[in-house]
Amino acid sequence: MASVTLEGIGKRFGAVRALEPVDLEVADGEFLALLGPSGCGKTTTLNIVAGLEAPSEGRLLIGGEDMTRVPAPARDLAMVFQSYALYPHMTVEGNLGFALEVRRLPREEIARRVRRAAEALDLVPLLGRYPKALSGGQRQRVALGRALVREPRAFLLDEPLSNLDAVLRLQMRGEIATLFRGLGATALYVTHDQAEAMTMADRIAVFRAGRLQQVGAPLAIYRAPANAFVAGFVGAPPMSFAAATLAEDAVVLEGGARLPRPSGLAVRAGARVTLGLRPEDLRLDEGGLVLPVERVEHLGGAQIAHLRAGGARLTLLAPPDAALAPGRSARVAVAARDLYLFDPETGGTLAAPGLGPLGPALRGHPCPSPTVSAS
Amino acid sequence: MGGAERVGPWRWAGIALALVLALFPFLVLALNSVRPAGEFLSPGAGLLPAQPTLEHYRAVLGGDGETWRFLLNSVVVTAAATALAVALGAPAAYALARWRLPFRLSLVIGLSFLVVRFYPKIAVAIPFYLLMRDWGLLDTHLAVILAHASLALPLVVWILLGFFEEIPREIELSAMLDGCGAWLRFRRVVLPLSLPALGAAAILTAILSWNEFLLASTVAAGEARTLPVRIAGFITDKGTQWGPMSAMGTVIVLPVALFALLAQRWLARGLTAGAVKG
Repeated sequence: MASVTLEGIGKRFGAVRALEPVDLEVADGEFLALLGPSGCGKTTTLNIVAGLEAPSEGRLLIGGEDMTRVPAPARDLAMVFQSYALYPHMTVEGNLGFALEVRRLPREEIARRVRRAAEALDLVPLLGRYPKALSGGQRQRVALGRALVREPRAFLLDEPLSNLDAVLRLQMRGEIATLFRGLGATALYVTHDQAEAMTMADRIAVFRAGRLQQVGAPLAIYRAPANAFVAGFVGAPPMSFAAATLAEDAVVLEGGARLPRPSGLAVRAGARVTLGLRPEDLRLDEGGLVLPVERVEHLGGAQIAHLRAGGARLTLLAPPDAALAPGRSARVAVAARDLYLFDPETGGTLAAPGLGPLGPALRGHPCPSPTVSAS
Repeated sequence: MGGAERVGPWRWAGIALALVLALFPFLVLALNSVRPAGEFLSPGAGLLPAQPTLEHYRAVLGGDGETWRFLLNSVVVTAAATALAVALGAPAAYALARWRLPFRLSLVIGLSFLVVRFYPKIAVAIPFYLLMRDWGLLDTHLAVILAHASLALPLVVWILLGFFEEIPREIELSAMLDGCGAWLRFRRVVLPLSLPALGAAAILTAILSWNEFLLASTVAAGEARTLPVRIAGFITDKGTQWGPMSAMGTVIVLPVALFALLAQRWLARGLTAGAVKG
């Protein structure tokens, strides 16, 4: 296994910037998730590391070696594609062993590695089958096995679970995480599913519109997002946002509802801010704000209630037995330290639970720094 | 669809008409091949020979064994031209399908392959003759093989180009990361996946070469004559030998018809393969 380092790697297609220059270091043995909506640059980044696309600028190091101009077949990386991309004319065994055969490994070594991967992934009874005779989940395992037998310098995974049904996806999520942890493998894992990134990765790199937004441990991303986009993208149900104004001792929502102001916030009173509230931070409280309930979704183990607060909608994650009904109101409160506040213009974070107060001034808030560590 | 659809009388009539149009010449040919020589010029002769005979077949297939030599010529030329056209056409098509050349060269090259299909063969017959003469290849198998391969190459490239473009890119990217350079990818992944298309291209090339007359007669009018050229030889200044000509015509059609029958399924699959994701 090896580390993977991107130094100012960027990509232009003609006049279009697909990827702003990115600095990113994936340590040896680290599982890094590249997270973002479609078209955000995460797959471009992965393809550049794989050698399937050439960067327009910057350097790529693998294990400290400059690999920027090395063609894909010589990079010794293994990739799992979203479509699995199995070889339809080869059996499972042939698929697993192909890369080793191409590398002219001794026959016994190939057999040994194929066997081991097949056992690890429950593929032994399927070794003689062709891909068309496999279910989606089985194909997914073969694609994974094909990468595992390689024992490459790093694994690249491009949305490997997105074609599976929900139950299988959840199961594979855990299995892949355990598997790669056990191997101590360096892995870059592209996904648009924040839950996958949160549960599997050592660190997450969040992309948006070709720009790296933040890199950090899952909880750091969650509790100390660099900006409103990251805060809204990570977490389910997602964070609610509301326009608000700062008072001396409160955060005032449109419509007049007042929430406690986080302490030590270096933003003058009267400034406009964007308030972010995570559904689980909002709690039912007899002394809290009275907000009308618009809609309730009962999940069995919990309820999600959509509340109205002036022009904004707030989401509340409530216990299963709470008496919530549309048309009635709920009384809710939130602790001052759980508020997220963002600059309404730049989206930059002014205050977040994990970070403590930030924000020297509202105006001219600098572009969010790409790296934010956990506090 | 279609399984439960009834075939109405008009459709039967249409099918029958098409069949007659397509097959009547063959019928005449086959009947003529068993017509006694004396009947050809008699004004009262009907469609069916009054006294069927195998004398023409005996004359054509027996005797000095000349026909067998021409048959062998045809087999050698067809096999070699097919092999050559597919062997050259497949990598060419792959390169056109996968490598982005600057200045839209892929398109230009691809179109030029198509254009050479359009102009009349006679336009290249004379240059081809001169070329073969300069190379000292006149009246050799090689001359006919080169001529037929060059005729078939555009066809092969176009069939395979379409097919290669349909192969999911990710399968090849996967092979790339598995360590395959372009050649290995082509040989180990693309070709095995393209067998139906390769088969279709080979069948069409073989039929083209087996039937081709113009170029073959231009560059090889003697020892290296193929069967179609030999057939034309029955038209002499002393008159046309209808009987032997028909007999040989029937002989030459039979293998192609048989081939087409056997290959029909494969041909259909190859020509439409990739149209629908399987």
